[in-house]
Amino acid sequence: MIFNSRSKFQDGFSLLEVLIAITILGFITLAIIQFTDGSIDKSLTVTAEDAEYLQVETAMARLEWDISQIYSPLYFDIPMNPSNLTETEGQIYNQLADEYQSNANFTMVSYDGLPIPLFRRPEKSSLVLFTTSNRRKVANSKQSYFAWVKYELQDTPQEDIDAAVDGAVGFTAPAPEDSKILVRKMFTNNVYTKREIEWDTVKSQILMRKVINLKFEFWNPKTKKWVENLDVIPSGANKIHAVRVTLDYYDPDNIETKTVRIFRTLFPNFEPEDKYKYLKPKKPNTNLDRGGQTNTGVGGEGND
Amino acid sequence: MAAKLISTKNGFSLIEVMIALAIFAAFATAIIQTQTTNLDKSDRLRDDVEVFKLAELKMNEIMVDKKKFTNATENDPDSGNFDIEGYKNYKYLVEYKKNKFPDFEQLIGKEEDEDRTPDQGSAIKKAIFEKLKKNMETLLWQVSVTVTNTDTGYSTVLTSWVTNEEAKLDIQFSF
Repeated sequence: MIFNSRSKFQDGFSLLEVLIAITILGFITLAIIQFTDGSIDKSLTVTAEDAEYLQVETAMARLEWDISQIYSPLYFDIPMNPSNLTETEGQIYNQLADEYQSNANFTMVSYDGLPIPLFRRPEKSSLVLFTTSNRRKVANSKQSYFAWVKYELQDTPQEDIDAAVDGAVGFTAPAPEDSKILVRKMFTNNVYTKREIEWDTVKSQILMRKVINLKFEFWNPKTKKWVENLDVIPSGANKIHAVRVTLDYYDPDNIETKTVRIFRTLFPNFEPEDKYKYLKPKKPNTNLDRGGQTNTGVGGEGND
Repeated sequence: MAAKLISTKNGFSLIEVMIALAIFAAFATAIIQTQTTNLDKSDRLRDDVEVFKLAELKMNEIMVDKKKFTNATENDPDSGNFDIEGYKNYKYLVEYKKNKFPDFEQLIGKEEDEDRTPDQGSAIKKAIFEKLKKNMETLLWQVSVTVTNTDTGYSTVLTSWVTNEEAKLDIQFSF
């Protein structure tokens, strides 16, 4: 009969029961909210960190894209040499020489009359290249694949530092004041210009933030070493074999990190001198006999 | 009698509550597990990228500074640790292998008619192929780069061809 009376009087919950239920529910909700909140934070941090790691990869991919497509006629040709020309070639050379004497971007001309670009490092952390990595933006437009590209480090914009000082910080550590930004500039309008390119007027594209230092080294095939100075390498300022890039940057937690990459140029490495040894006469062919003996000059030897 | 009375009660039985709790717990564990594996995956992915980039670096080093290939090269793997700040716990192993090309018969397949005498054309083809095979075997080498993170044990293998720049090609035919 106890059961009977209980079912009669306990149609609802007692106050105590309700309180206990609410407390338990409260704890569960609290735990869920905390967990959700934490995991959202964590996922945002991971996304932000991944984005920062990704920008290293994208910046490096950019560098690889430009460096691998470096262009110079010296990959398949030799510089025009005045002492080694026939009379007609000499006349052409004189015309061309005037053009290239006061040229800031192309200082030499190749045997086949192609302008040879000059690669430069205006500062230790910057590099100016002539590459074929340009792509047309409008289909069928007459735009060259050639471009002058400059990589350089610039000071971090003031607003980035201000944001860090104000405490308006995202999910990764703010840019330290001494950090720099890696910038790429592309000059495509008139790549064969004789005048110095005014890089300050060229639009810059930010590749990476929180950079500490950037170092370019070039492969010297003669000594089999990486060197920083292009002029040490034989015809190094006009022909690049491979570039080693060392990048120091702050990772998402502002810990100094280093990455090293090697980029090779796509052009196969010929020794173009050989081409002329076999294909062209070494000396001006003055005693061309139009009689029985044919001398086409293709044989190379026996023209003297 | 007791059972009859319980069934008239309005409310959950203990069993019901426990089942509900179990279902909730299962969901909660699932959520927590997904979350942690996601973080694990992010770490793993980053390590994968690092290991691959180091392998690529090593490969480019090999391509730029070409080795002299001799018969001993095959049994002379190159290994060590990377000498880059922050990557000293990554080790590499570089192995070289000579190319092996299949024989002419293997490529062409067995003649269906065994009795037929081989004509001169196929003899020339075979001679040319043998020459080509010999040249290719000295000219092209295989290289494999294995990079391992000694802390986590993650590793990757990158393979490629390298040309032997000092190979002397034999293109003399004597028919």
